[in-house]
Amino acid sequence: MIKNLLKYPDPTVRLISANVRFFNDELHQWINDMIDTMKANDLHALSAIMIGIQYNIIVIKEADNYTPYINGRLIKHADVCTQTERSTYYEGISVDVDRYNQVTVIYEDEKGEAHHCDLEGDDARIFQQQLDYCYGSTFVDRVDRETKQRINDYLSGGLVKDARGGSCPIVFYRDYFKRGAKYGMGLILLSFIAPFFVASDMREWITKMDIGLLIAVVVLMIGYFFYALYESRQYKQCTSCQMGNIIGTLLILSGQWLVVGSGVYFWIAS
Amino acid sequence: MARLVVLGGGVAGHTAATFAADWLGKDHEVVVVTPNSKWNWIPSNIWVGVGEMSKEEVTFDLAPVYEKAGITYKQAKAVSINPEGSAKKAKPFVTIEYTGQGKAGHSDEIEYDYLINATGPKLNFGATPGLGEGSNLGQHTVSVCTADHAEHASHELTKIMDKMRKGQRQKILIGTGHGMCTCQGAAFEYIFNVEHEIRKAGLRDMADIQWISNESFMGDFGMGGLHMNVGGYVVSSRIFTESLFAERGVSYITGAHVNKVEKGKVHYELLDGSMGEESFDFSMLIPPFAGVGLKAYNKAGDDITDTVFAPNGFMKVDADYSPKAYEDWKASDWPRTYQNPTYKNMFAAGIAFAPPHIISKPAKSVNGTVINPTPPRTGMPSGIIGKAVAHSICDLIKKGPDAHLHEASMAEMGAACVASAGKGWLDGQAAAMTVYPVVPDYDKYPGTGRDTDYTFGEIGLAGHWIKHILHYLFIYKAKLKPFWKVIPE
Repeated sequence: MIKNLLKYPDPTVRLISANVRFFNDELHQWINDMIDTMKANDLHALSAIMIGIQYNIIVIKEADNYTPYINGRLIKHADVCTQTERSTYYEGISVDVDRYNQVTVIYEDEKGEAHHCDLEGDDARIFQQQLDYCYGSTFVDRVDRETKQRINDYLSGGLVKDARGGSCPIVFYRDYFKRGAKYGMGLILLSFIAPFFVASDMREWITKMDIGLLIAVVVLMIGYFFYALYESRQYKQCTSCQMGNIIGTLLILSGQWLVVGSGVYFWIAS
Repeated sequence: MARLVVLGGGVAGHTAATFAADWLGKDHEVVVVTPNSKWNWIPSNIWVGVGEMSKEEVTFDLAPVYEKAGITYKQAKAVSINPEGSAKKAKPFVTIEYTGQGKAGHSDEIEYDYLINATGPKLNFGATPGLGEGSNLGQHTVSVCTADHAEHASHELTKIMDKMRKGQRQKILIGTGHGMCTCQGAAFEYIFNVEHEIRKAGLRDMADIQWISNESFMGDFGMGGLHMNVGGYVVSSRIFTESLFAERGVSYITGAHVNKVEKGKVHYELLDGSMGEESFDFSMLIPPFAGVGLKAYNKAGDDITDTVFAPNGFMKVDADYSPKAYEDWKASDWPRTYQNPTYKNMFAAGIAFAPPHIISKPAKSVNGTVINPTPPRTGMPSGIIGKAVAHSICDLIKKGPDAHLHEASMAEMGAACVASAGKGWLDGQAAAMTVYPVVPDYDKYPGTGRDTDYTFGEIGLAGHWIKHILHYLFIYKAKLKPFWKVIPE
């Protein structure tokens, strides 16, 4: 059956394909779907993820035959050369990519038998390009930072960054809580110069204001904790150790709170 | 009064012994048998190997720590186990041979009620001709597996850097020294730390640096790969590693079984069956691991090593060891309680337990040579398993033989690892990686077998700071300083 080819900005392209473990009818059906899709779109090579199947399967058209390469790996490589590449995923974009001109590939056929072969020139390049798709990548991960930035600017929605479609926000809302707590503590610090200028009856009012601010900072810190937890679940993909960041931030804020708190106790209230 | 004997004082053994001593109190005895007089924080050996840390900074004397914890310490290596006792002894015992404490060479028999085998691996240099003899490192290559090896590696590295200063171009080869090695992560850390030091010294243009590994693709790490976050983009560890190697100008060979090492040259076989050779002036090759070679005897004195240990020398535990094809692997094959199926008072923790199968996709060359990484068991799973086993034994002692055993399956456990790619407070780099679960569960997470939300890595300077802080934190914990128990494994 002819399947739809993955097109930008479908985030599926960022999924990493699993190894094929079962060489059964389902696998043969996937391969047939890939061949049908290749014929319909006049393609010379296709990896399964490009029709939404998250398994390490590549089909390459060799003369009139369609050969499946399953669980492919590059074992030997030599002779790097730069050539202009296109991708069916990012239509209308072509970039210069460094690839090996000679590779040795190991793979399994549709029955699960192991094979190896040497590929050269365009065949080697096509295989490397398809294998990158199997590893959740397109040519944008093989170019320098400037080129990547240029492609990012060219695309209406920017480059696809991860498999969930959502990329990491520039600003985490949890930071507003943190900033609020810091401003609160900043105001308390400012009040520390007040005793030099104001009359003693004002001291009592300043003390009350400082205590109020200290309580507000604690409330903001609690708010930070819970909101940050919620946000870290929402953006699991954004950093690998969000819990560590949250606890670290809270420890720093608590330390600062203790310092300004003791300032209020010993300097303002006394 | 019950006696728990812990064989080995590495991450798993030390964690198990110290927690057990704390939980059991003075009513019971905990004995640690380890041939080393010092504890070694192995991950930091990488930095000793490039001269960024001294041997003393990554080790400390065990005797005072065990004295403080009320643990009986025997500086000895375990030779054999008699799980049924012997004709003369009714209770099970281990035979040990002292390596220190003024009794070196003397043998002793220590009776036990419960035994934890946490001997770690034998560094099997002898598996590759020329790499070494038995567990001894040979003369052609260096290693960073022990603090002494790392110190030697650092001296050798200084020598070749001196040659570079004199204008002699040097070839550096780092990776795995056999087709069935694990610990690619350590070699990965070492190659980038070496590259970082050479670059810092302004000698980068005088060195050709090459990686050689038994992984079938770059970034497999013995775990079948993972996802990395690089500059906000999620890519597989293969793309990430290949980019990192290209960025640092390091070439690589994958799918290689090093089958012979000579002076200045390695011979290897690749997964496609072809043979190759590579020359070097300096080479660090990780050896394969095997069990330490403990023997086991029954009451009559017959050798029952095959019953207690798997053929690779690791102890059999509650895993499913029946041979299975790749497609039939299940998360449930992996052990949960680490209890020996024959002798229920024996447990194994850390590297000492026999895994049911590997984690990466199995691979053989066309000549039939197995070339695939064996399962890594890094500090975090080892510590967690050691603690769970200690917990089970404490419950068996305190609540009786029907106590529920604590479980810590690697198929339900995540692991975090920070791989250094260069040391320096401002220019350091490290890749922080988390994997969940360590062993893929293909039923729960169809396809890759992993929860992609928690299988993640990032590289940067902050990672290096974390790695450096962990160095102090874990040595602090291992020294049983105040609040050591709240520091996670």
